[in-house]
Amino acid sequence: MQKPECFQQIILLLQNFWSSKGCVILQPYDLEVGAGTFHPATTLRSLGPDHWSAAYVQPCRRPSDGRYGDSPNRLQHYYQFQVVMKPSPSTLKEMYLESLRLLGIDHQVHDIRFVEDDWESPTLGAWGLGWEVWCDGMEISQFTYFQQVGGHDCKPITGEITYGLERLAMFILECDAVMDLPYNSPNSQRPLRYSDIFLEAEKQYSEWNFREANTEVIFRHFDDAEKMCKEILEMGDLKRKSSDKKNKLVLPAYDQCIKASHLFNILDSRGVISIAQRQVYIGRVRTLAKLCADSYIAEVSSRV
Amino acid sequence: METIKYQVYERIELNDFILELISEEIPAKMQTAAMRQLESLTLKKVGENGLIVQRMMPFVTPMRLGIILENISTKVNENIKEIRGPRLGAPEIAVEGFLKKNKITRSELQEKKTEKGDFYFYSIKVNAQSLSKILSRIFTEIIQEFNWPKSMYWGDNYSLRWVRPLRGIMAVLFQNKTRERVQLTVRDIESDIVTRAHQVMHPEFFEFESIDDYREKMLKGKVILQPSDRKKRVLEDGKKQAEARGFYLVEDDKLLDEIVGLTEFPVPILGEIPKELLSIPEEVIITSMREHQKFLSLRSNANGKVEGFLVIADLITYDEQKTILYGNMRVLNSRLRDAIFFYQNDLNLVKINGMRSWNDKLKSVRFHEKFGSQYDRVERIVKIAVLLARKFDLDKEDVKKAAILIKADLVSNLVSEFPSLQGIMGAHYAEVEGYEKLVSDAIKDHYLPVGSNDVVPNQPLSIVLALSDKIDYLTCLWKIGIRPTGNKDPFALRRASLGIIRIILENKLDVDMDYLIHLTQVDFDISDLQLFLKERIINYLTEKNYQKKVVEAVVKQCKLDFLPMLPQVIAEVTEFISSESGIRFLAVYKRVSNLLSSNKEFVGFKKKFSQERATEEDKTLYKHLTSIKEQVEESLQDKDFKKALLVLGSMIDPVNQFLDNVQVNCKDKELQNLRYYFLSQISETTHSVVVFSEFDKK
Repeated sequence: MQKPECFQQIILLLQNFWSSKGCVILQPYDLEVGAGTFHPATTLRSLGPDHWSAAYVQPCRRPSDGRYGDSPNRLQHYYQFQVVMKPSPSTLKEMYLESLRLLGIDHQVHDIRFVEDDWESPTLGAWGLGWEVWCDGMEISQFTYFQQVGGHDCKPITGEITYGLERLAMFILECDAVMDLPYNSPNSQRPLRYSDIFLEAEKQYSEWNFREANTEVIFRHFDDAEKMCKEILEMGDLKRKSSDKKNKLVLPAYDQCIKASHLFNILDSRGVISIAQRQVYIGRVRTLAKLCADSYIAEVSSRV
Repeated sequence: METIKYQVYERIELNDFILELISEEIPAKMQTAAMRQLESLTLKKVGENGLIVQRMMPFVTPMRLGIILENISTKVNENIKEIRGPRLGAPEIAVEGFLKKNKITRSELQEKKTEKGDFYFYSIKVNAQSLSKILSRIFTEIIQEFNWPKSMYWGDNYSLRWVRPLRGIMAVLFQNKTRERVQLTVRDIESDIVTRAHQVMHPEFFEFESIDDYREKMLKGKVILQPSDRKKRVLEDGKKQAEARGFYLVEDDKLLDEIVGLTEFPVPILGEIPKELLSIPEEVIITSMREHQKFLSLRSNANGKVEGFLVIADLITYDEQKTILYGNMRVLNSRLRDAIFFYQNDLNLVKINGMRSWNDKLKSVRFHEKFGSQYDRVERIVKIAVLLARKFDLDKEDVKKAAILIKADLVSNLVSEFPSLQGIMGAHYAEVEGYEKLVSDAIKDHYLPVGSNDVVPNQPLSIVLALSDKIDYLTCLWKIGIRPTGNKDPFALRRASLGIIRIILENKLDVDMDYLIHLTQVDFDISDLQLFLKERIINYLTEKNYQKKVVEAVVKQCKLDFLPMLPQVIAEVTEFISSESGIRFLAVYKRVSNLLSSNKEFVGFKKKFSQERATEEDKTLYKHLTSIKEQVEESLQDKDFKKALLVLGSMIDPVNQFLDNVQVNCKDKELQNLRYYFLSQISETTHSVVVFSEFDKK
């Protein structure tokens, strides 16, 4: 197997591989999220009894990690490749190692290690046990068995693998700075580097996230999103009473929860949330996530 | 025909058993405890089931937890069923019929006398529980009962929680050269008779003929079963490589423990740090390598500086681990470049604005929600330190200058990245800014002692800052109701108290706890804090090999201001109780307390002494007691313990004489009351020096 030669080829290889393992290949969720886990295909689908396997790329926004494109490895916008399989198959680890071989990381020459790293998302009210995966000392993936989401026990258990695509690409393509990554094939008609596509965005968004974002408006948006999320879920309750068959609008409500989470991240990177307030805001987002999870579970179990 | 049931004991010998619980990677820090738990559970169950095991060897690697039992001997209860046949001398045809019916031969028949006469008998073993069955039961129970500090479910079966998904069980019994799979069924897993060695280097399944064969094949298959053996390999191989390249190893046992929990076959690879990355303080390099990459540091023989490292891989490769080293070097490079960047930022700031400019930022670093920021904390520490400075003949301004800097580095770039470098970076930046060494040392050492093996600060300035920091911490948290409970002490209050106690005692300081608490200007009831501190003192001194009884007898009654003299006092009391007068005194004390305990209603009984009914003996004793009480109080006031003990000694004769010559439980109730009052006075006076009742405790 030949080594991939550019960023996009790594994505394509992963998509094909996990497709062949029975995952549906989804596209990114169309809202700003801090991690691929926020995609309803992971959070919501990991709840309830239904089997589910999916893989997708998810752009992630971490406003406070922006460095105006100057850091060799920190970005406020980057990609994750997310795989979820429920129930977690007994061969999940082997499949993961096979996917690495496909990317040119041969376990016979590379030191691949599973180092304990339990996952906890205070905003999602979720936790799981697993590892970060090290390849020759570099962390390239997270591997987690979900135990709880939105305060609910997961049954069956979802196995989740998250590849940090830029890091993985830097390792495979031997690049020391993320901006130097070849995005498409260096042999293509118009070879592009990561910087050609994202450098300007990193600069603009760093400026926005750290300095310019209108915090007054964003505080208001946060409150609105929170309010709307709750209203949508309550609306479901009313409808249900009048005509028993109407579903709760969990998915639109969950969108508002995702929005609130991202708005909080911007406020945090703008430095306008005090340490004491921070816990309060995280708690508010967690409440929304929990409400959505409650409704989702109620919905799923009523379907049976 | 009838059956009789009874039991015989059969002794089977020379059985070996091995169990492997194969799972996805077990967290490094849980492995040793898991191995010990498996051992103790096995020991317990083996005993309960009447097995005797000559040698027991538990083992653990990231992928497997297991145990080997060698030379198991067993007393197995067997039910013997006896079937009565025809009478002796019965017709041949009857005997033949019996043989035929039971499918046996004539030689298997036994003759036996019974009350009804002599009969042929045939006996068969029934329900004999084989060793295999017993082991199966024992280890099924152990797996179900096993207790991981954190455990999980996986897939869609919820019948077992394990630390990470359990993927296989290998359980084999060797009995008289035969090999047998021991049936274990847990969750959806059936035990197997084969296993695998290293998952990458030797992934093929193999069979084995004996325990020795298993051990040999494992080692050949690149699995070292014992953590201690893996450690040995890292050290031996690592040191050899280091020596050959002009380095020596910086010992780091904790890291080593973690490394051997991440490898089945540790392979040290030596790397050299590129020269251009050596421009940061060495603590930063060591910390970055340790925390981010789990590298062991190597010092150069030539200059003693950290210029190399060992990365421990879990793999031997055909390119002699070159690819692995290359990848790790790349990560190191980017990590150290980050660190250099942070360091330069910090330096620039220190050079332009000075460390004190960081204090403003401390306002946004929370110490505790009820006690404001680290900035507020620094202000309090400065106040305490300035007051405490008097005791050490230090200049107030000098102390203030140093105290104000002690937490500044918390907001530096480097400490934000590596919290474990707090104090160390502060000291470094203080030196860069031109503060004298005493100041920078104090910034670094005020955190000490952390571990029980740490040295305590010994320069006056460091001592003042360390005590001020710790007493502020302790009283603040105590005030809002934070207490250690049982094993849990999330705010490390015990550590802070122990730090204070050690600094005072090991430096023989004339500073006491009550004084320190007083300096913090606490405004709450400190009696339970004092009690807690006394417990810590007792704990510390007992661990220092002072006799526990003596420590408790002394510490329980004394005020916290006695702390600096405690070791001396304890030594004096120890000497006293083994001296002739001490032994005699104890005898008197016992005589008195026996009388008192036989008549509890008089304990603590107060009564004015009236001359009316008192005899000469009573009057003499009273005189003695009054004077002794005064002398004891006086000596304690002067903190002269030796004298107090001497005074106690002078009670012996008068008290003995009194008790020899009068009857305490006399008919005259008034007089009896009076005499009990004397006794309780003797006891009280004694306890104001030493709680002698502690010596009666078992």
